[in-house]
Amino acid sequence: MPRQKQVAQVGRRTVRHATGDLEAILAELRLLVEGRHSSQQTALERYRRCPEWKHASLVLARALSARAGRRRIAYLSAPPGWLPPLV
Amino acid sequence: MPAGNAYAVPRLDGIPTEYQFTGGSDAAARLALTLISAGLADAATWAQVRGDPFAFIAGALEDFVEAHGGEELHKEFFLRLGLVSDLDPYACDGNETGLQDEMYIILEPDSAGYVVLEPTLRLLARTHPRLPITFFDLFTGALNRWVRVYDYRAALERVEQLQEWYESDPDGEQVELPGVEAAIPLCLRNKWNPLKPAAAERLLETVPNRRARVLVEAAMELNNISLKAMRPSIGQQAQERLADTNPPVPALVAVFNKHDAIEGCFDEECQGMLECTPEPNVILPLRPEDPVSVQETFRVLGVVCDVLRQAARLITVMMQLAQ
Repeated sequence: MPRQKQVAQVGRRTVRHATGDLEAILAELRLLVEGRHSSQQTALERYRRCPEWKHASLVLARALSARAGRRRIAYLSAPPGWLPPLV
Repeated sequence: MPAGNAYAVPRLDGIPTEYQFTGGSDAAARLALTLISAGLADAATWAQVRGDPFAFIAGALEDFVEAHGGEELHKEFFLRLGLVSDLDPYACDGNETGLQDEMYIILEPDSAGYVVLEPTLRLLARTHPRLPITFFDLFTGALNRWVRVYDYRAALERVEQLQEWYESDPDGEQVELPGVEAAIPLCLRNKWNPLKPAAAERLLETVPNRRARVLVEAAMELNNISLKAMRPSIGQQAQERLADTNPPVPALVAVFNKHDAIEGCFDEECQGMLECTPEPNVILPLRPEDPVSVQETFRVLGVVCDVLRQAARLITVMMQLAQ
């Protein structure tokens, strides 16, 4: 089924409203592009974007794996997009 | 814990009950912005997709295909259009963002379309001995520029390949291979060359059979549409991602008669076509931030859709002749 489209049809007021909507949409898209949109403010999304956070968890994971008395284990490499520790 | 002898049900107000993580929303939003600025997407649909840039792009692609004859081409072709940032669907090199500088619109068949050619070729042969080969050449040539057509030439190659395999097999002599040569109509087996476009046009002016004339004119139109764009180069890096893929799955199987040897070859060969991931039929690269690149990619996509629509019209007529 073709999707229904909402377009400005009649009257100056409607057109002005549509222009305002367009600006709002473009602003929202720019926020998404810059990673500043509210949907991107989750802990996981912030983690994904923060190299320092990733590095800190890597250091922690290495420290844990290097502790004395630790059993010999091998990590599997995690698929892309998954959370570290990637050791 | 509450006082008394009662249990309290904890309240979950304000706590998210659904948690989703979608990688690449920034890249998708970048493309969505470009689509709007290039006039290729209607910003008004943003509210309908509830701010999901992936759904917004999908909607823009659907609308674009619809405007280029989507309904007609879906009658004869069973294709899936996709937008990917990596041509290797099983890539595991941890590169999340590097390839998002370039994206690809890809076209892949869910299953192959089907056309029976011989009744059309017979009709044309009655008009002029060079029209069947001219029609066949125009029809398959125009389509093969964009999508893979499985016809008698692919079947002959398959038989040759099977012969080589069986030659090294002690029991191979007992195997009966499909008689593709025998299935080729006489009008194509003769050593005629296809007519050049100008010669074909001159000949058509003298053809009294209206149906034959319309068929050849439609094939010439198909050929002209398919020449309106060139297959874009996808670059060395993208080529490397396709190194381990199978050949593209055919978008159309062109047989001479129902259940003939060509169809038999296809039925046999298609069993192994998905053993490895097949290469997409069409790969159109685009740079999401570059409106010129996106517009050019959509222009080429438009040509592909127009080719498929025109081919679908021809297939419909040919299948009516075959009934």
